Amino acid sequence: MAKTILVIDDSASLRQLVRLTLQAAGYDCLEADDGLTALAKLDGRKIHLAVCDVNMPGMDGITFVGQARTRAAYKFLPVIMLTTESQQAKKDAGKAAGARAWIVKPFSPPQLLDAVSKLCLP
Amino acid sequence: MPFLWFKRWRRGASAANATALAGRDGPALAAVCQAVLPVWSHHVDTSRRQVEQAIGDILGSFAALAPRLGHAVSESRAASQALGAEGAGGLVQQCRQALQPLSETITRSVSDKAAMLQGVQQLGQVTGELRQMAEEVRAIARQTNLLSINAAIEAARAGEAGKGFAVVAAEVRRLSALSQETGRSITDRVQAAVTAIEQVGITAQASASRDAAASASASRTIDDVLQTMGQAVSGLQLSAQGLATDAEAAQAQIHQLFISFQFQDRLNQILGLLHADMQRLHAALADPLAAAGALDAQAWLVQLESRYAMAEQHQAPPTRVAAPARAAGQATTAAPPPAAAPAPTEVDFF
Repeated sequence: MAKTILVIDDSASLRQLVRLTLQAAGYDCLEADDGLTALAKLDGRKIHLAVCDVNMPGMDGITFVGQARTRAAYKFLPVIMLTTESQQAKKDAGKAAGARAWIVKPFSPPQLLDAVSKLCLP
Repeated sequence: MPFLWFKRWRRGASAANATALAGRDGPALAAVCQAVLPVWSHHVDTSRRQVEQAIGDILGSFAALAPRLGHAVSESRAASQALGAEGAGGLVQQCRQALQPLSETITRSVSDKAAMLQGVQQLGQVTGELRQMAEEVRAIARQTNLLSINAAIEAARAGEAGKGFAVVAAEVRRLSALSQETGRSITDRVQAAVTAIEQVGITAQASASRDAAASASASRTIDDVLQTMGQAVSGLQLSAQGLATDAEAAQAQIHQLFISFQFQDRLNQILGLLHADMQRLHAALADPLAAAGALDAQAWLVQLESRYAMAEQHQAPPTRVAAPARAAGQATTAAPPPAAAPAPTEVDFF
């Protein structure tokens, strides 16, 4: 059965690129355009990993990671931050919130797939 | 060209000139800004949305194409690997091994027919001997007949005493005639058998010749087919390798396209921030306090920069506010460095 990845980004084109990359590798994708919408997707269904932008309207990615950690079912959900942000302070904040990896956009498909395969829940 | 323009602009718009301009035309400038900023902001936002829409449409088409390309890439790679593992020589060798039993069966059949032909020829020799033996039987019968005639003459000459012997001589003569007849019959039958065997031998000889020719032809045909197949497989192998190479190149180009398409996200962020900052300036100009000179250029820039997310935004021309120009919100700017196209960086794992 295909694993499910939650893709969170306010840019529709970026979500589409990530989805195309992941689907080509056999993953199923759920999409959300900000942290709040993404939290609504954490409704008990099995999600194996999240790929999350940082700067988004509504709820930013780092806040989303922190909120997801408070939910028992998603406490160990691996989150890859995929963002244009490259400042160390932001990375530190993401790490402190519980993110597992940080990729600065633009991403290359093999690079993203490698990170996903390393962190995806069984 | 933009750099030259910028240098000219810098020369023309010195801080002093800017201050003078602001002092003289400040209210008019504020009015122009208030009027034009919403228009600029609208244009920027329209551009941003149109680019986003266009890229979305392109990606929508690409979404249907990419899986097919991916499938073609993996299929080409698999075909090339399969042919590469076996190789044309390997496949031909496999086919030769598979056809070997068939070739051996044909050869065995030819060999069996040759042995049968030899048997038929030996049978011909045996029938010749039988014919000779039958001839000898007839010769013996003839001799016996002569002997019986002589015995009958001698018995007649003996008179009464030879009567019994005459009976025996007559019986021997009868048996001699019977033997001669039997010998003739054997000769006839043997001759019939010889004729039949000779016909079988001729037929077998012709069949063996045909089989030998067919066997040789079959071997040549197998070799020809295997050679043709080998050439075809070599061609296919080359073709598959070419396809695999092209597929790899296509895959790399797809990945590069994925990277290039992400410019829209960056453009979106830059234009989005520009749009928001224009709106902020418009709102500030609408504020009577700001219009009265409360706008601070340095603080404005600091706030703008605090919202930068991308490295290239931080590479924007370093701005310093000229002291005389601060009251009017004027700034001087260094020459902009060329914008570097961003490339994927390493993943940071925590």
